[in-house]
Amino acid sequence: MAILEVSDLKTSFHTRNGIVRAVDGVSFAVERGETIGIVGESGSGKSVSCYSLMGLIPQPPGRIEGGTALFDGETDLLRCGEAALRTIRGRRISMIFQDPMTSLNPYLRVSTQIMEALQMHSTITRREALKRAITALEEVGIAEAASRVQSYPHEFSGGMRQRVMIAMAMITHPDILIADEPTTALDVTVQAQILELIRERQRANNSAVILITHDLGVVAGMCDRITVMYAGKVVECGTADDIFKRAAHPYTIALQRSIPSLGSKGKPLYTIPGLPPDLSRPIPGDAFALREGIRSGGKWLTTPPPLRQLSDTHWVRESDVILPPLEEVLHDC
Amino acid sequence: MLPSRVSPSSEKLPDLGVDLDAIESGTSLWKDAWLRLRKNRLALMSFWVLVFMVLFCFLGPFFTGQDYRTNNLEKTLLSPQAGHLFGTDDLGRDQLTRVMVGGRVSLGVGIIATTVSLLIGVAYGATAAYVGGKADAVMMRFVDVLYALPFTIFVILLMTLFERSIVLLFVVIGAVEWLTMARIVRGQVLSIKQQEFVEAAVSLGYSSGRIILRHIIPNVLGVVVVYATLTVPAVMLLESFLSFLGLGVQPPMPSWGSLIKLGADNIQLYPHLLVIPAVFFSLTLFSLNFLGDGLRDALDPRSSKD
Repeated sequence: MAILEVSDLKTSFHTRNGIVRAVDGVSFAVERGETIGIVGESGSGKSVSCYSLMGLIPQPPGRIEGGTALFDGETDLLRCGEAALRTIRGRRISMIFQDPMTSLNPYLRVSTQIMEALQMHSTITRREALKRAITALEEVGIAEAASRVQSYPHEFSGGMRQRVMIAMAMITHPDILIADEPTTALDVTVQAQILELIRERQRANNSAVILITHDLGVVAGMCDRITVMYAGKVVECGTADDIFKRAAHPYTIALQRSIPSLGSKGKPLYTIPGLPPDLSRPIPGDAFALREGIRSGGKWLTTPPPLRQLSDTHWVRESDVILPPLEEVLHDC
Repeated sequence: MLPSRVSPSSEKLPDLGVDLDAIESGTSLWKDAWLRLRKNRLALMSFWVLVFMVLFCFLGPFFTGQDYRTNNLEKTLLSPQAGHLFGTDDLGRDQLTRVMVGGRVSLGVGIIATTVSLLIGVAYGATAAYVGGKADAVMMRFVDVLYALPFTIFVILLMTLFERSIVLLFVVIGAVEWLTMARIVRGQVLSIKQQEFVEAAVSLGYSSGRIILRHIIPNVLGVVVVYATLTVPAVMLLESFLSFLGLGVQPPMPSWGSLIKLGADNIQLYPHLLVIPAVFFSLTLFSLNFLGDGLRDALDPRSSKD
């Protein structure tokens, strides 16, 4: 049984310019020990989906309009209330953030911050907590953890701070780790180490990992299953092989075309024309078809395209967008 | 409820082979701040000047052998001399004792009223900003309303409603000074609230009270301390203004403000009556400013140079 089952999640922001439907009917599930990836451009609603689960959406202006998020088969995270959510957050579902430079409190020692996470969720002496904090730092690969545990965050580099965040998030052995673009703010050489570390910690705890990213390269190596989002909706989901070898939605194909590869040296890089749509206006049909510079058959401009099942694991949203052959596009550049 | 997944048992933990006591010591924010402050000579000196002032004013009168309120009309307006180190005032009272006793009032009002304003202002401003939305709007409009009340009328009202006393004076001044503090803290908290570490604290399951106390307030302390050291002189001046109107301390009880006023009236013939209390007053204010500046640096862990 899935440890977390999200169905038909709808989150919107009521702003002065209208209602922004940031997440519009998103469903996904994750099993223990599994890694799923949520990919999409900026503003596709991937972060908002996960923030909704954690109750981190500021309300107002945000509002969760509907859907359920069944955690461990019993608790609906969207309706269980602040007090119940607090016992789950940090203990059973942890989160790491995009920017390790700002996600640690600059005024508190690293030890204090890790120990606090532990002491909040269990009865444990200070001494035990300190021991465990040092062990946790060693586990995330910080050398001489005992002498560094009393440092302040500013004495650490970005990669090390992200390691500290991972240590903090994993110290309570959570069932689910949500990683919101954990490597975006890091150096490329550090990115691989951090991803490897997340995977290693996941194996040690048999946790589920939800990886939010816009980097297809990251999900390809990490994830068992992938959900591709566009304009607040799921456009395609399936196993890593489904998405990378049998991609069916034109948006997924276009995303893959935009990955630079080693062989393409000297050639122009493909970019998807236009911009994602303004979500404050209702989009009745296929949002990708509305994108400037995208040609479509016009079938799904006013009626919402349904999801179609391609195989046991692979689902795709209908679309009649026609992507031009790659050679032609690059010739125009 | 003890969560099963977090095992508190120590058996599974390897012996780390390190001295945990050594690591554990020196973890408090204030202890760190004191260590950093000690490296700042000017701030440290100011600290000791203030300690001296407090001891001088609160213990001194027991050793002068003089009373601050006994008139001696045969010995009015004496110059500094043996027996009366700072001379005497227009009613023949020992000026040294009067400076000490006046210092009690001025330092007391400065410290207590500032502390009152600090506690109310920080708690109020931080809560308003953290909760946000309608609660914030209502709370801050209340502050605006109090701001709009003329201060003097407010004080006269409180002084006549309740029995007149020095303690009440302290509280009244504090109750007026917290308004600006609340606004400053609110502004700071609003910007800190946006930072990811607050979001991270929420995602770790901490309660709002804990986040405000442990994660947000330490981040605003620097600004608060600097503003507090500016509040102390403002409060001392307010006190002398109120005393002048007859709403503050009553003669024969002196304060530095009233002593300076008396000195200013006699500046041409008896300058020592002005100079001595003025020197004490200024020295205290300078020290407070240097100490505040030093504290701001000391409270920020990023400023440590070691």
